[in-house]
Amino acid sequence: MRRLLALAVIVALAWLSQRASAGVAPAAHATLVAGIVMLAGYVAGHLVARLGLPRISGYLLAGLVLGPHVAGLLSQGAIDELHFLNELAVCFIALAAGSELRLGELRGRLRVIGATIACLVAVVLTAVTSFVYFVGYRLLPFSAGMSDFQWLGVAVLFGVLAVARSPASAIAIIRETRARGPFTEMALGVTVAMDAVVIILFAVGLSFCESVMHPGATPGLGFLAAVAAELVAGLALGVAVGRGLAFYMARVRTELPVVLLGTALLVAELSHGMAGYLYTTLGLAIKLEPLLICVTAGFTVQNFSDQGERSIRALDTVNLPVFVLFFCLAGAHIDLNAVRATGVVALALVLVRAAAVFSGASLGGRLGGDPPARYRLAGLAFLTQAGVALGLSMEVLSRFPGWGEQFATTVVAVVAVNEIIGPIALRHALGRAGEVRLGVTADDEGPASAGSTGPGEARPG
Amino acid sequence: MKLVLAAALVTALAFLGSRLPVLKRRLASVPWPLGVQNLLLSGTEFVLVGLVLGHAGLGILDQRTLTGLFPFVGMGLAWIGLLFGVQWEARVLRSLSSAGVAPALGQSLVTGMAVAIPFYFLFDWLFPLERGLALIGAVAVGAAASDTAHSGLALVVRHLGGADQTRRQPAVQLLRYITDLDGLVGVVAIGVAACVPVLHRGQPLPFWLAASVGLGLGVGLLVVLLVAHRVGEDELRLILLGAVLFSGGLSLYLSLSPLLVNLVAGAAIANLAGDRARATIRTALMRGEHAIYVLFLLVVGADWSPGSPTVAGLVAAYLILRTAGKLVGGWLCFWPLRGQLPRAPHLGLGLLSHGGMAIAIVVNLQQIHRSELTDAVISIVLVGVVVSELVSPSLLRRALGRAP
Repeated sequence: MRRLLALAVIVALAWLSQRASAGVAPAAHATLVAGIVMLAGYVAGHLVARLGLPRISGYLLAGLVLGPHVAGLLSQGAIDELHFLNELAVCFIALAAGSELRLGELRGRLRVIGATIACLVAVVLTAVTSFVYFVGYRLLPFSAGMSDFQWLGVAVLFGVLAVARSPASAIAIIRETRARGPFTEMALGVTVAMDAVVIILFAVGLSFCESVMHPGATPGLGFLAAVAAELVAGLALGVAVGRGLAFYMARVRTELPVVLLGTALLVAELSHGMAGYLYTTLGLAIKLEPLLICVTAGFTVQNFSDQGERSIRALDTVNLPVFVLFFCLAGAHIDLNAVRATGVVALALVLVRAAAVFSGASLGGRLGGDPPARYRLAGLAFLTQAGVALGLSMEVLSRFPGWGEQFATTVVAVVAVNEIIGPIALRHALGRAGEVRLGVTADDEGPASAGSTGPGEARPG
Repeated sequence: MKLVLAAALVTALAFLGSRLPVLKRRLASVPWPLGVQNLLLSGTEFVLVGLVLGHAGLGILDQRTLTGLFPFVGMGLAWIGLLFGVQWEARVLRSLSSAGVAPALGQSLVTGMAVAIPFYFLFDWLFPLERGLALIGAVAVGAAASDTAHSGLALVVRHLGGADQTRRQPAVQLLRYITDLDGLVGVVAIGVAACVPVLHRGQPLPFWLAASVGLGLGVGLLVVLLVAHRVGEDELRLILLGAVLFSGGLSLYLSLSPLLVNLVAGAAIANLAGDRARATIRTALMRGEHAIYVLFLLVVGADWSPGSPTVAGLVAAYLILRTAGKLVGGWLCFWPLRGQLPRAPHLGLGLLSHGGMAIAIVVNLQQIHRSELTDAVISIVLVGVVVSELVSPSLLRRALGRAP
């Protein structure tokens, strides 16, 4: 009741502020929006948790309701003002995801992880591509005027994007439930590794699509080489960042949460800056993937130094504001107009993808030697979709401006649905697997302390 | 790109500044001329670091980058206001000697008036195009002058020997008591000044003052509601961060004072939250204080344009008027109580330390109205703070040395 009242106070204050005339203070609006998002997300997370749903569903819901497509308390402009924080959050979450991957525990699970990835890719890619190729051309108006071969190119891109999942949602649910165990390791391992797989598949798919759309163009071997370079450079940079963080944690030790946030910030922009630099100076279209760099950095700290548990505790102190901010903004981005506009085909794609995910995950678990109780649940862990698929659909839009817009709208609608049902499904799967450990705190998990703050000289007034 | 590199650099400096006291003490142990070691230990030196990084210095933090970092200013103002507000707990205030509260606030008020009145005429004369703002600028300068910082006292007490510390204890306690309370005058003054019709398209002052108090109460009640359930440390951090961003952003968005709004919010929390929640909130605010405060000073320093020779004259006037105000105010307000309070005959000399709250007050004004006059106000107070921090510990030592 108190939380409902708090939510009402936040919404009322936000509504009143919208009606008031703005002052002249720079960035006051962005500061205000960040505050609204954090408080409303927090309260909504608590409210949905009482219904047995994961808190991130509440964060998403708060963003969706406050966002431009429902109540309009957060305008598109306001959301764009916080783009900077959003990128920071993505990198920070990737750092957390990498830190959760423990090589010691993964070693025993490598077979099932490999098998699950292979089966998911094969089944989902085949099922969604086939569906779009054979059925989708009736439902998607932009198929008109395309040859069979060209339509196959489009279908392949739909298939590739269906393989993508959301590491951010997975890590948020795992941190919220403090889940730990073989099923959690497998779910996280597959989700994180799939990120790299999707980037490769997308490069191949895009190259194929370009060659069939523009018959004169040569299939992009150079493009594939650039993708390989991106992956290698991303991994190398990630290892370097991870080594640096581990060194800092071992030697300096203080203010780790601030340093980790600073690192995420730096990686987010350095990767963009370096891509721009390589393009303008050397003409190389190589994009460093900040997500890959941060996952690798987190993985390096966890597995190639003795600072793993310390880093997890430090990440824990900042996780909550980052998750709330990120998922609320993600919720505000959910485009209900796109869902409405592509209703039937989006729903059909969601269902086909879900069926393929269940079949692929189950088959992978069986081939990997998982017990039936586990592989029957596996599909629930891989429904989530978010930023990766959206980002790649925007890449398609920029490459194929003619039909790319309708393609991207359809993908946005599919992702919107998966973004909402995915976390609920994963939370349910972790619970059924018996790996949820609610009530366990970071301190229960290890001995070291993750940096501390205390009074110093600098004080106001 | 530049924004993020700058943010990372500023964050790293903020972290280093707040977390490496040993390095700072080493620097301070070097026999610097002109009392520079006092400045290095006060925290105010980050304004100068910011100045070097900013557009008036090396230009690493350019205007576009600074605009991206301005949310930290709103957040910093709100955090400072909230931290100041949570100490206003009625139960604790009732237990304080009522005889001491009035003089503590009185000397602050006398100083504020002693600075504000002459500055009103100076601003009216020097900035003829901004006559409507002369009063607001003068109130801001006076409000900043009225505050006494903790830093000088903390610095001097740290270097007192054991026996000396015991002997000076009553005088030190009196000074600490005054520095805890006297920021109230400045915060309320800038809060009221931010509500004047000229800043709100002619809408009346009582309306915006009521809005400031109402908003503060709303935010305070919100935090109390949210912490009424047992919340974990991470949840408390999130609630406070959200509340501070929300109230700081909304206050500035409405051209109100985040300091006053959050003073009210803090007082509401102090008086309405349960004992456990109040204690954990205070601890959480204290823990976050250093990094946020240093970050705030760096951004303020980077945005600072020191200004013209006229400003140098105004700084001199400010320092003279403030010193006179503190000396006369201290004497006037505490002399009648000489029998009841510890004797500190040169109390005013111990009240010259100047710091974060004064800077926050003038930055507050600059955030809601930027002009040549408010830029001058910033310069006057920033230079005044730096000079005060250079000399005030020595004067404080002298004041304590004369105390019985």
